[in-house]
Amino acid sequence: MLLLLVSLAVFAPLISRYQPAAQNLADILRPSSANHWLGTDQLGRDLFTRLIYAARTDLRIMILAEILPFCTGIFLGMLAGYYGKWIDALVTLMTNTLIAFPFYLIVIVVAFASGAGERGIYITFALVGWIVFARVVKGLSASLRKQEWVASAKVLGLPDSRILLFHILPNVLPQAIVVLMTDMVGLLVAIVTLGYLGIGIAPPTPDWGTMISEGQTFIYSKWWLSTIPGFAVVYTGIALSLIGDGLADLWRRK
Amino acid sequence: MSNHRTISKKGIIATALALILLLSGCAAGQNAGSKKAIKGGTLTYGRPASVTSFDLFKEITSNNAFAIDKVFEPLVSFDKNGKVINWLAKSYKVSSDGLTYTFVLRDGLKFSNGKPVTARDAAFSIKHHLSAGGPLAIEAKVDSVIANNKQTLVIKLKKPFTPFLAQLANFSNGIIPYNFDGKSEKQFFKKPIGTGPFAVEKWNPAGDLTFKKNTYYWQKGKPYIDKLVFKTISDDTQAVNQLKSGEVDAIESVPLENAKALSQGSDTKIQTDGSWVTEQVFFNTLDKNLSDVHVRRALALAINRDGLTKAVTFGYAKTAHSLLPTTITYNSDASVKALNYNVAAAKKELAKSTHPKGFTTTLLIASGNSAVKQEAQIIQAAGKAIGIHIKIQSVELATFRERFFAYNYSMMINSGQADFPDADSILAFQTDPKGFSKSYWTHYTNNTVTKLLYAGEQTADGPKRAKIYAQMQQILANEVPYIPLYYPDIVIGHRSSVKGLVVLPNGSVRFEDAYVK
Repeated sequence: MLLLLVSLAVFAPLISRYQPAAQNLADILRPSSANHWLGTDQLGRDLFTRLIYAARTDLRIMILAEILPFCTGIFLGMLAGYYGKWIDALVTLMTNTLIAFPFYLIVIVVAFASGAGERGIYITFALVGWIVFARVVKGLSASLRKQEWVASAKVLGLPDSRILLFHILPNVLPQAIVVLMTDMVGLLVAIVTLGYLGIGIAPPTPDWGTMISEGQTFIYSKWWLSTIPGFAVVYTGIALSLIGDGLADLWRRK
Repeated sequence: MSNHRTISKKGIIATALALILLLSGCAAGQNAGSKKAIKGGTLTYGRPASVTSFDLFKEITSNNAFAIDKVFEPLVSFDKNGKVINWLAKSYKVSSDGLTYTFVLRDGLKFSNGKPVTARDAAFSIKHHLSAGGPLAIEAKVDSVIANNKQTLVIKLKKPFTPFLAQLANFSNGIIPYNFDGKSEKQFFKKPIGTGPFAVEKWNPAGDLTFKKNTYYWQKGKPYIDKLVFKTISDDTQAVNQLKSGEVDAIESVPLENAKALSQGSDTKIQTDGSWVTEQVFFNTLDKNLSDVHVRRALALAINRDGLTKAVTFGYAKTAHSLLPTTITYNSDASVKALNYNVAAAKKELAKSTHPKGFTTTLLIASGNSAVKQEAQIIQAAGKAIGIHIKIQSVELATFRERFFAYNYSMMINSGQADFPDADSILAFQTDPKGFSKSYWTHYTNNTVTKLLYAGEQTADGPKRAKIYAQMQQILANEVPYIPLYYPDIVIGHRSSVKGLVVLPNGSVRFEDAYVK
């Protein structure tokens, strides 16, 4: 499922002969035809082209925005879990403070400060996205710390950095990846929501959220303008969740 | 028994006759009823922005203007065709030299608190507006405003001012009680008292507004409805949803792509007519890029206005060529030489500018209006074709207004609209750098244009005045402080059960004849 979507996104320029932002004011709001598989939108842009280019935009942002919080979250979580004490207290304080603010509130504040668009999403997610990873990883590393093999490694005189990197990390990573998959669904929905609210991706860059929002006006006559990008979001969400579930099952069996 | 039977027969015949009469009477009653207005009830009107103030001397935007005109009324007004008509004045006379205007008030006029309206109230209102100035200041050089007796008001001008009568029809020249009815100005406008068909009952400046019927209204028996509610619905698609579901009875802002469907709906209708509005792209001429006339001309040439109008307005507008809409006398839409769509010419024009290779700029728009969103993207694409990269900034309506009032923008999409039926309304608002609006916040300054503007105000109606305005509109088309895009029709959506709405060319609706069946 995801593979199909990713390949559509990656090979978008090869699949479609249209440019996603190319307008044709003489040919607006057309239904599906041989020339335009999903018809055209209110500015005469090919809907199918915009849909797959939007997949590019949204998936790219989703992946890029996850990298930094994923790494920071694991790093801080491991430190807090492994060392405990004041590091744990500090990380817990940070997570508790940030978690008190609703995600969208932070996004809106950041959007006002840095201007709407991709940058706002990256900044916000770098600020708050790591929490979920840190919490999971912290719990796991704390329990691992108490296990005998960690204690023996310590007795053998292995440095902490080595224990963390080669012994704790491989054990917490699968769980973190499962969390990553569910988190990505949430992030995707956030990107789309922000686009819909007009503080996400700026036009003319195609994005599912703005597509839904712009098509909304035509919901009574051209329902597919909003429905198809909406379906794309659901499709991606299900695909990511299935992967998360599959991975979790796989590692559990091991 | 027999006797009884005959009586009963007679009785049956009589009853039958009575029934027939009664039924025919009922039928006649019903016929009359379908033509007659139904009294009472509440009409809810969905509008894109809340009413923030009733101060007719200071306000300008339609969200306030169309509430102010329900409470305050001027001496003269205009009808749905834009013709000046008697309103609070039952008659007026203009002296042959154009300097003396004599108004006679209607008999028995009363404010919504029951106090009589006299010429003293009218004189106070006009004088106060003269001293207050404000965004829609009386531009004529007024010599004196005198209440000759209880019903007669005489206004003398120092110099003739052709648009004076039309300007008096503006909502900003409404009549208020003498000396704010003994209250402070601020207090008075919190609980305004006027002669209009409605009085304020409940008002949240950040939300909805409920009017109640003015029982002292001078049009006998009107308004028919007891209450009029202005409900704020900032998103136009939401407004359509609420109209369809019957949550509101009428809406002010109909997304044009939905207009046809609403007009054909089983329980919805639209009312449409030409407006006094010109949709435009405005340039901040203080902006480092857009101060260059060649840049502005290049953008005008790059935009396919016909295509834009068709794509965005679904047949409810005409492509604009000149600043004045075709509904206003002295428009030069047919004769003006406009910069029409020509990308090659646009590139050439840009090459002559100080930014031959293009630049990056921003286009400010108000969120919540789907047509404007579309226009912005069309303009963005047009700019890109000639190397001008336009970023769209979509902000909430109140912020949008704050931004352009402070010249904090480079380009914006907005509409210019006449408040009274004279060419001077839009022209003075959009070309006078010394006026309140500083050429509609473009700060466009051209001495020739300003001289023509003043000449037009003092020239009597006729070919001479027409020539002045044609010349002005041509200069504006050449120097492009704004690009007129199209003249939109007014489209008001309402439930089929709502009757008697009168839609005015400025976009306001008269509700005194309205009722809900």
